[in-house]
Amino acid sequence: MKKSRLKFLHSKFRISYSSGFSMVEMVVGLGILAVAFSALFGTYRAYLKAALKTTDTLKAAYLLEEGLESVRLLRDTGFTANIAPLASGTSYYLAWSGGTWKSTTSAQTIDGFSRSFRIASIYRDASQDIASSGTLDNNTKKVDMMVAWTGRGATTTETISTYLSNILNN
Amino acid sequence: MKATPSKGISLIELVIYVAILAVAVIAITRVLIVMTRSYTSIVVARDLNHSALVGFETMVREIRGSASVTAGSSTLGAHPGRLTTAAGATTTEFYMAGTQLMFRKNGVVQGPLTLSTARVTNLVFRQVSTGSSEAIKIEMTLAAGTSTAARSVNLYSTAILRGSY
Repeated sequence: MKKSRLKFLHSKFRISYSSGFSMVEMVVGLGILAVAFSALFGTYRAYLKAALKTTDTLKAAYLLEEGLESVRLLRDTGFTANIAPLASGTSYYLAWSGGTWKSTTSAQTIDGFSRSFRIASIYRDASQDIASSGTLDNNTKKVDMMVAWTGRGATTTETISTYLSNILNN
Repeated sequence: MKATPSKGISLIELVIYVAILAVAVIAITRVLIVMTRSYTSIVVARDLNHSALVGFETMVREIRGSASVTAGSSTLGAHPGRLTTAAGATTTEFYMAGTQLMFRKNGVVQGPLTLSTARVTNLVFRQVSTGSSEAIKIEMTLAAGTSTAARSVNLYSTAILRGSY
């Protein structure tokens, strides 16, 4: 009982010596807070950037889909005339002219989105499966459709691929 | 009790504290303003993306499921576009009501495909005929938000009517 009372008195004296926060403590405290908040806002900024980028990704997805439908239209018009003469590994572009899609060698951009495609030859093995080497299949081609756009200083490229067959035998 | 000289706050200290507080308050206020603005832009982007996705996905899917374009009841090559396609006994229509994209199946309105907070400012359908197949090229511009928060997107796609082969 006596001991605890002494301790209490002692602590009371200690309190009277304390002089609250010093300037240095306050500055250090504010500094720590600033660092913590800047990390939080950095995260929020990244989230915001990602959220606002979605519209471009959506637009690119439809441009890619349109690209594949356009090469299918070229195939429907005439595989021999439109698809077979395209060189493997060369970039081609799609241009809207005369009410239909045409392939061209001059670069095309749609609101800053550049769309190109490449054709690759298809080889088949003994069991008629697609293989890296074997017999050249003149009636099938692989199409790689690419869309590239620049947003906020970075270039994004999206690609989709499909096989194109001379199903109409034209 | 040991008598120590008063350790209160001097005028200079007070001024510095007030300055630090002022800087902190200004920073917090600016952060609040920026957060409010960015929230508005997220809402606008969401309205735009949602309308673009639902509108385009439905149109592309329905066109692919169709067999022919009913040119007589369509407005092709001009805004505001109207597209009527048929697949057997099913008729599908896409048209504009005010600034919203509407969807009708067999004469029954299925509802708007774009949100009321987004505006369709351009809708053009173009027909492509290859002799072996038919396709529709869609061009649509969507806008949302006002003044500084205004955003818009031009969307393009082409879909082949799979029933036209």
